[in-house]
Amino acid sequence: MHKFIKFSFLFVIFLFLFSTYSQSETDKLTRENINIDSDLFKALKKNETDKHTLKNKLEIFKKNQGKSTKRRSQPQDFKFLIPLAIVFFALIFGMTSTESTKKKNKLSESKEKSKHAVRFTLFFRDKNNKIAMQYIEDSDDAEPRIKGVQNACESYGHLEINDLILSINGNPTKTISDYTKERIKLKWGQEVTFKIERKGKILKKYITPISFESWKEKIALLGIDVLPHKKKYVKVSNIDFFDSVRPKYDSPALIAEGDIIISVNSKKIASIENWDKEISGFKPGQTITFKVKRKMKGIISEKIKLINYNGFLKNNEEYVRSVLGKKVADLMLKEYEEGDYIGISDERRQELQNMDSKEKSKENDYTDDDYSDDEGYDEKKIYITTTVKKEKVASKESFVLTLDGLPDDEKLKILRDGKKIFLKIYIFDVTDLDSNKYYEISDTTGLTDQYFSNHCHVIKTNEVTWSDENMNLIQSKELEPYGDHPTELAFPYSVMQLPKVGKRKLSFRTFLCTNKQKFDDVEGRPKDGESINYRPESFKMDDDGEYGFDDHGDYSEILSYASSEIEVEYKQPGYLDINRRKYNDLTIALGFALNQQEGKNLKENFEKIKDEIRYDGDSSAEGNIYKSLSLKSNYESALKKKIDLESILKELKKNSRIHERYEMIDLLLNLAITDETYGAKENEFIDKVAKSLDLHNEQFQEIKKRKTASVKFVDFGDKADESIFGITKDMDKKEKLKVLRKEYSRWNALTNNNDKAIRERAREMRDLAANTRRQYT
Amino acid sequence: MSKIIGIDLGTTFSAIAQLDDLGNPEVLASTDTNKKITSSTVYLKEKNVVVGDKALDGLNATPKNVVTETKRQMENDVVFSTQKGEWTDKEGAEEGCYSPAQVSSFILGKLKEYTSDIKKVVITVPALFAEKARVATLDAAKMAGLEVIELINEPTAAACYYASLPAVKKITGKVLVFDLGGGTFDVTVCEIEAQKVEVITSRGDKWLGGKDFDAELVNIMNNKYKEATGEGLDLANKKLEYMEKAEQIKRALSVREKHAEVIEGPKGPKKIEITRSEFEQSIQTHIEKLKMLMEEALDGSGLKPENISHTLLVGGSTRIPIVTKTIESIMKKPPLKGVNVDEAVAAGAAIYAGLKSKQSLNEAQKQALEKVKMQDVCNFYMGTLIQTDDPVLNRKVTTNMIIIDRDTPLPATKTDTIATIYDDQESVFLEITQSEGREKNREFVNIIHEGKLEFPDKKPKGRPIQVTYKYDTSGKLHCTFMDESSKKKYEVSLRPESAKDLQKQYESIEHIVIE
Repeated sequence: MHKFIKFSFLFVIFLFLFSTYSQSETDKLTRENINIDSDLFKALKKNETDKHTLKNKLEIFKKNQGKSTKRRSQPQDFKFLIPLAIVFFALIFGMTSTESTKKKNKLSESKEKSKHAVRFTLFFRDKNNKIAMQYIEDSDDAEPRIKGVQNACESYGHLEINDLILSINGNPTKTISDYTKERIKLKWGQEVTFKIERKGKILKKYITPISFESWKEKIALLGIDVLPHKKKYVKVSNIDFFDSVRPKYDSPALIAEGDIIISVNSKKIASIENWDKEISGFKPGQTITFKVKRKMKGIISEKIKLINYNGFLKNNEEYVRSVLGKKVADLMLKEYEEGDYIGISDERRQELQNMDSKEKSKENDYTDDDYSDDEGYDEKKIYITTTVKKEKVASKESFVLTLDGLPDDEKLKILRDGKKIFLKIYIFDVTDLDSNKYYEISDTTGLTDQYFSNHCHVIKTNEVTWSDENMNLIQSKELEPYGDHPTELAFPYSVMQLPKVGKRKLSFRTFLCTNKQKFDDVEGRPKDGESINYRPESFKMDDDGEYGFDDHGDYSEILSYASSEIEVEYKQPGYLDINRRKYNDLTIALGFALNQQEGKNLKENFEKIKDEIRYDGDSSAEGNIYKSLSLKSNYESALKKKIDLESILKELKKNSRIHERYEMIDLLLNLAITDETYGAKENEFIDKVAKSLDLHNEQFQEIKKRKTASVKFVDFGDKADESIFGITKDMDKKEKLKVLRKEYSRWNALTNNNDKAIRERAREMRDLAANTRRQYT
Repeated sequence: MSKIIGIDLGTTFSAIAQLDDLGNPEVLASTDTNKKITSSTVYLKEKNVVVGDKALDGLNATPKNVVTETKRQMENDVVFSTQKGEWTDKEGAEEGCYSPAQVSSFILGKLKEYTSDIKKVVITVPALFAEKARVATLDAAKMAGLEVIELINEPTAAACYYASLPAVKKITGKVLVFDLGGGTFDVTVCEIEAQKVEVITSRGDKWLGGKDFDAELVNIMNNKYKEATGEGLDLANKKLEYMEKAEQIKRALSVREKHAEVIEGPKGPKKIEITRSEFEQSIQTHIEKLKMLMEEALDGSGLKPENISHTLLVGGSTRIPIVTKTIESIMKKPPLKGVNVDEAVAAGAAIYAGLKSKQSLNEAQKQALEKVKMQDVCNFYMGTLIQTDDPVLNRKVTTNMIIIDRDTPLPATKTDTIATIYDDQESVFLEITQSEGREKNREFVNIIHEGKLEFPDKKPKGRPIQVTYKYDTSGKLHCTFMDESSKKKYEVSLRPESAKDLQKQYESIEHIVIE
């Protein structure tokens, strides 16, 4: 521009000077003419007699006259061109300005290219059916098959749903990650060649992404992702902030996670494909009607006005500015933009928040007034929700139940009303519940309660602290105003006794109830008066979830209910699998078999064995009779040395759980050291039992060591020494040396023990270990 | 000015050392025998006792009055009965018996006579000496009129001495201290740099030493005598005498391949020849123990033999050829020789006494000790008993939770959290444990203190209680149990405390003269 001005100016100056020069030439001639004429005039006037001088002057005049009349075109004659030239160059200037502006714009756009990657308003789904976020750091190896293409963007009309993108600008894109890598290399305003596969045909499509600004204007951001639900629905799996469905951070989403999508603009949504197709037709500014099914609320309709990306950015900015001071908000927004709106890392976000000393005012205070206008909401009712997942808690595999929607302190004060409020969680095995069977029974005999009772059992436990009086596994907590209200509760896998072995589905049932709500001792189910309430089962069987747990207020003492399911593999016989009486019988037989060969201690062991099975949970008269008979018959068999150890062990394997086998070993060791000695034969017997029952050798040895630490070892001789230390025949020399050194150190350390008996035993064992090891070195 | 004194109170021999004016440790000689090491034998008479070599003279006349290996009894509830001539259970013992602390006090009293103006001392103990044994040692010192600055571990003292030697000052790197005395064995791995000693780990056996080798020789003597005469030796009544003989034979076999000795027995005197090979064969089980403990020490330090620059020998029993051979076979190189193995511990104790009494040192002594630094480790696992779920038995069991690990450099502070197991629990029972091994079983740990923390209010189960243990270089353990919600604490400091009947013990020997 500057050059043009300069040149134009120079040109104009040139023209001006040129015309001026010309003018001066012409003017000179004229003056001479005037002079000549003056001279002549003077001459004539003076009647100059000098005819020569007069003649000369006339000749000069004529000469000059000739010049003036016969002169060529002079620059001054082209003065009129100057304004023309100016106009001309002005036009030229205008055009080049436009070009330079365009150039400028082009330059600006190319700067933008480096900040904001090209986007195409189409989306993919990953292997889990979630919308692929297309971040470069993601390694998404799903194929880049288009699941949605938004209306009114450049891609629309060129690319379609189900197109598989094979390459971009000749670069192959086998996965979504490949596509993302190629996409970010592109430039706005530059044509892109897509090679696609559509219905078996290979096609090329050419698309020019206009600009980031254009993209921001055109894209509609709904803010909902869904996943398939029960084959014929889709369920909301994710809600984004600041999009159409939740424009403000501190207001609830118009559609919530967990909602089942029934229809969009009256079009039924039965699959994720239906959903993707419908949302592809969205445009910013449109108002979309969603019909959803929400738990505890039934079917609700929501109208959502769609915003574009700029709208999203505006909402985002509003929020950021509302929570952060100007300086930090500016910084955060700037970084967000410079990062291509991908997001700010948690660490950086924390840093920025720390910078900001302004007190956050984001509260999610839901008061009753907030809900008073909502349909279907009962102020007095509480709506708890739960989720369950597997997690290691304190190094133990556990199920962690997360609770949401518990009443706050003010609510609790109202709810209490002279009663106590409890949170009670039971777990049920729901694997065998079949909805078809349920409906069949419901339609025919109507004996659904019996069906539930036979096919859905409570999870039990051996742990007193984890159980109610009947060993049903329960976590129970009183909720007091201003007390500790749990948001997560862990159930260690190890405390659970499932009814059956194998892959099972567990339902974690959470009741928010008053102290007046009773639960059945045997079945662990809520009671309705004197009867057992099977509502949790029928509620589960209600496929559509059309009704809440207690829509009619039938169970006034149950304030809220929620359940969550999870699958588990239970690798040992369940409590229903084991025939308890059979187990007791085998325990008794094994106890007597210990000393049947020597015939010693049988009478003393009788009492110990009797004590062992006394508190097994079966205190019925029949059970006691059964135990007495078993004690008597096995005792007599032992006296005659007729107890068959092999068959007992075989049966025990089928009829005992892991921990019960260790308890059995514990019993045998207690029986063995009754007389404060531990004999070689007893050791051999117990070792054999441990091996047959597949006990972990190290754990078994540890129990043995503990039990026998302070008693005298008798009758072992030389050969049995090694077995005392847990050395087995299949160990090689190196392993034996290692075990013996470990044993030596262990017993050597115990020579410091406060217990004199242990000290003395430790010295013996220490020397024995050293002596035994000698053989191998 | 008080002297800076270190004492090695050994099972078979004891020694006392002081820092000379230049800051060098000097082992003091007996005023009777002029020997630098004093036998730990005590001969008990009515109103006086004889300590040292002279006490052995009593073996002929009244062997029941001769007490040996007192150190081995320091942790036991026993007394020496001159009637029976042996250590016997304290419960039910007759009048006039002596506790291990009393007998040790006689030894200390004797050592005290080798110099004058002793007020404060450092006494060495085996690295794995139990709390009870340490208490008994302190009591012995009190009864002998000595104020103990600190008890330090024997191998650490020896390492300290080695590091201070001018010729040895160039020792750097990882070093293994092999301390085999008359009654105990310690093996310690430490890092020495210039005169700085840092202990990495210690292992040991309190019932392994020269005396056990002597006992094997007595068996050989007995067998050979029986072979020759048809009758065995009178071990019931003359064991001590034979043990002395055995020691002489052992010393001889350290320099000769065989040795013959006349043994007095029921069938009269008999000349018996014992070869070195027979002796070595008889102590193979003990040798195996030495090997295993060395391997344990290496494992515990995470080192291999090739990482160890030197093996330092301490204790008279390291003179036995098979012992040095064993060391060489494990460490792949011979041990370092040239230092008096009998005096190293006492000398090291004197150096440590100097470090702890800097205000009492003269300039030369200060300069000599300027660069000496020592860091020891915790030789035990310190823990507390808690209830946990036993996945094997599927029930709650009492288990030991370790707070401070063995081999943690001192001073050590560790914090952990435990929690209540029942709703509305009103208090928690506290048990502080000590063990040599990493034990979970409550049966296998020593409970050294019991207490109770009561809560001011009721809370659900899982109420957190912060447990902090602080173990300092003097062996004091300070434990704090704090309820995190109410900040209520239970605190206790545990240090070796005197036996309850210390005053009584002292009064009963007050009148006794030590010869």
